[in-house]
Amino acid sequence: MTSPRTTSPLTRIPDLAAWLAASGLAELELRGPDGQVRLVRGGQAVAAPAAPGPRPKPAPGLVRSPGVGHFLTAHPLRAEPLAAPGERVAAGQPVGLLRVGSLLLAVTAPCAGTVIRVVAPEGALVGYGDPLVDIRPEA
Amino acid sequence: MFDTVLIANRGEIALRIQRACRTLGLRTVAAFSEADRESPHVRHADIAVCIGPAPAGRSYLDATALLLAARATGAGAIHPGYGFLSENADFAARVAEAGLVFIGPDAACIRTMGDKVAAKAAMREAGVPCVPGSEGALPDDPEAVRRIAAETGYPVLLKAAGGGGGRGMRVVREEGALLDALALVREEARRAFGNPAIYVEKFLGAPRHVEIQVIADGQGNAVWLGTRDCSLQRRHQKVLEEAPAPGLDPAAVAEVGERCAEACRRLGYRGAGTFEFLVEGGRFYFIEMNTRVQVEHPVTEMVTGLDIVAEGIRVARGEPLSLRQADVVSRGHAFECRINAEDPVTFAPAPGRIARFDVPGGPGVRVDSHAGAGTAVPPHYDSLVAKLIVHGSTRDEALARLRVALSEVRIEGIATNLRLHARILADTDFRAGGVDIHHLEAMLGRAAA
Repeated sequence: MTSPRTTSPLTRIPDLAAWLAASGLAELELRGPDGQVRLVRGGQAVAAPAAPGPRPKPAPGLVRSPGVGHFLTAHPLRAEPLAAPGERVAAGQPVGLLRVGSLLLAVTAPCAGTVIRVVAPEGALVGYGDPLVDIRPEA
Repeated sequence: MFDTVLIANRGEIALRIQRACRTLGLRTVAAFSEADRESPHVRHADIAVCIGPAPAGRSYLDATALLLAARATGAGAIHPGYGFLSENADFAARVAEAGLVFIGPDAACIRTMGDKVAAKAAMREAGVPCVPGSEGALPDDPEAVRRIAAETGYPVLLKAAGGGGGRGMRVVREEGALLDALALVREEARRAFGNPAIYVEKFLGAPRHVEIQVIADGQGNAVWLGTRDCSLQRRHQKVLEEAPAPGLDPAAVAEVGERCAEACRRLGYRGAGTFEFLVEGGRFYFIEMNTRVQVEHPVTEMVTGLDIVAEGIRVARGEPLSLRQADVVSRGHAFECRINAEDPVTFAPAPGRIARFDVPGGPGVRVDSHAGAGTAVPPHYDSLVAKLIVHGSTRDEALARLRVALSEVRIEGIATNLRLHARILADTDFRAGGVDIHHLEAMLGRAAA
């Protein structure tokens, strides 16, 4: 589960520059978890240093673990897997399970598509964000 | 009894806890956030699982995620470290309900100490000295108010029961000004907080912050491990600590220390803990108890030779304390500098990636840190990067070692408060020892003027 970054400050630089021009400020610095933006009034250039840690591009069809547990491709009482490679799945459909003790938590497809392969080994301990199932999203 | 400990924390303390666990032959589970994937304690863990994204609310403060992680990894105990969920009584209760061991006191102890009124009452019962004052709201009768203030001893502080953060308070230096000041504070309190209740407390103008480390096994054994002086603070944040607190009467310290140990026995306290006091005119006034291991615990370890974190884990395993009060000996003097990633001028946190980190060494020098060249300091958590700890046979020797060690530290790529530590070290009053809690801010104010 990667949160969509709908409000990147980079898309708002013209707005910020306009506000800076209208204000009496000489300099504006914005810091966020993924980087920083510094606007200097009357400077030669707008400085926009790179983010400290570039974040991997989220793959749209990759199902990532929502938490900690042992990954199961099928319900313990059923033989057939929840989503086998080649199978078409709908958005929100369970494609695997996380087992924590006697608790079973569903892992759901983020979008409709076709299962390409199951990435995580059966029964493996997985953590938040670990890739579990690869899905080719429908166009 | 448990043989696997889930470490529900990050940074230097996660590594410190892991070292203690591994020394004791215990397995460790690192439950980390996405921002801490590269941390050394994650690398050294027997099992490492990511429990959530970087924001603490969805990782280190997410009790459910931590309990699920403990369950999934087969951990038998959870060590909360400091900060995050370490003093959260509900979390301690949930850990116990899940059949796991919370490494620290039980939920009831945490709850009592987290409640200012209940904590003070428990301290009074054990004979731990508290700030004198009215036990509750002041009565309306002026004569009674005068009597209570006189018993408390001038100067006194009038405090609105509904106030906080410095609002609704007034210092009264002599009896002549008492009733007028009271009327004023009452009116302010009625308007600002909707609660005219006022209580009175002794006003301490220039106290020192002195604390006493304790460890107890919950089986009737408790010892105190000497004092620490943490008076060097900026906006209530400790910057540099030392052990023992210089210039105090050993007999008076021993008396208070024994009271603290007695309070632990009465409460059935288990684990490491700290009693914090304000000290003025050689007298101790209890402020609060921290029911966890503290950032500055290493200075006490350096002078006592004990491993406080390991001892805390041992008692959590149900073992009786391995030492008696007579075994506790304090040798020499120790200092700790908290090296933070912060702007040296504004003190604002300055996260980023460390490009270079030269670690000091030599006799009596210890560095507790999870960081090195290439480490990213995330913006989501506190800015502590490293703790530089030195020990010497005397305070002067420790100061000399600290001066050399500090000059050897070099951190590039992020801004740090290293220069602040060098300034403190050059300060005449600090070098003499025993400065009060306002000293550092006064020093910074003078420099800025």
